[in-house]
Amino acid sequence: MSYHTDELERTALLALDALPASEERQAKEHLRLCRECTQEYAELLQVGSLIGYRAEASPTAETSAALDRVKTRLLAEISRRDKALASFDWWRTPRVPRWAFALACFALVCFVGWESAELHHATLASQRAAAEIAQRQIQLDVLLAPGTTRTTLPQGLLLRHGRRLAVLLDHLPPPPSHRIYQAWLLPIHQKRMVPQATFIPDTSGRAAVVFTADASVIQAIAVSTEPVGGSQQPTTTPLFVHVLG
Amino acid sequence: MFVKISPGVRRRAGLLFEQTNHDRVGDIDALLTRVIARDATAFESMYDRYGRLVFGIARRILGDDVSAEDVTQAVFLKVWHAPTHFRMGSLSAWLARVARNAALDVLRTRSRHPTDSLSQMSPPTEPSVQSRVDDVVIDRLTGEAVRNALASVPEEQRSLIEMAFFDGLTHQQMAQRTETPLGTVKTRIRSGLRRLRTVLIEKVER
Repeated sequence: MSYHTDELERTALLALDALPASEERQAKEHLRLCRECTQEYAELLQVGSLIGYRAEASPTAETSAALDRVKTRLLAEISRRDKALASFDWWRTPRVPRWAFALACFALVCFVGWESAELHHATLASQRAAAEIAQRQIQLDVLLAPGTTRTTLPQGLLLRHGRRLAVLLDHLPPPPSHRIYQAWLLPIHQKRMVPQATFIPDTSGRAAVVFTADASVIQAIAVSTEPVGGSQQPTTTPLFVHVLG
Repeated sequence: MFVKISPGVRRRAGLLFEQTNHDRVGDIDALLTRVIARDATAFESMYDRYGRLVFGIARRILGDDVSAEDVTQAVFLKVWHAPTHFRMGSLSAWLARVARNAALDVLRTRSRHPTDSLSQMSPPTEPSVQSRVDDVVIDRLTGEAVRNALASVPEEQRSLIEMAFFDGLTHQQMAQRTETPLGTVKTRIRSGLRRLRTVLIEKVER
């Protein structure tokens, strides 16, 4: 037997998948180099598998029942998997035009942005309301605390409790258009007013101003009307100027 | 011993096919194309045509119907999900090989882990060779024609080929089991395969 006949026989075994792993590797290496064996392999590869027909199930009732069971399971399985795949494909290939999808996204962003701005405004309003409530609470504390001194002002009442100072104003007319009220204080030994809170009286003309500075270093307080946003120094004649005793 | 199939032979094969009322080679291509396009009806037709072959191989190797059903299902699911794994050649031969490998995998898994069921399936790993048009023509032969061709292969050759295919034995194991010299086993297997091929081609040409 020639060397090459031996190789051809080994190729036949390879085609039949009847070689141990080590020889299989050698045979495949040889195929890369030998045209004749490659031809042999191509010719025998599928013929060897046709031996499977020796086992083809005969069409008995039992076999048919088994095959029907498998078919039912198969069709159910591919239907289930294809449905899952189809739902995935929907995301990949949307059924609406891309421009419509983009427009919808833009509208959604606008809506969310508008809602967000509304929420932002609402939040600011809430914060202002909370600050007002806190301020009124302080005022109430000042008013109710024992030892609070009350001084009558032309436009209301000055409350002082220790180092705290507050002014309750009454019968204030609405400020002129584009103007608001602004409180001022003059520290001891200084000649320039220090701007304090701006405010608008309620519909009854009442307003309360709590000074955050230490009352012991305040020489005088005042209230004037100023442009919206407030001023660094009074631009109009104050409604009143009260010198603390 | 190489037999080249001429266009005339292919035409006669087509006529033979028409007479035997089986699918044309072109129809098998069309069937595959439709399966690749996820046509469930085409897949069902393919199952009806090759289900008995796959089931029979699995049952022969595994020895019980339940496991054979599982293997058959796994093989056809694989075809459905990756039909392009089949390239060219005989579809029946390819399916037979996939079924055989899947069943042998189950058998090997059982011997390692007796309680495991069908876990994974190895597709046939073959060196890249150009499949031949002859094999495509063979595909349209009926199962009966193939079985007749197999019957014409001498028993001592056919039994060794069956041992390799159905029992997954190597040539050395076959030599031990049959108490035959290794060289004789090799020669008989090659001779048997060549004989089978010649008979199959003759059947197509006739």
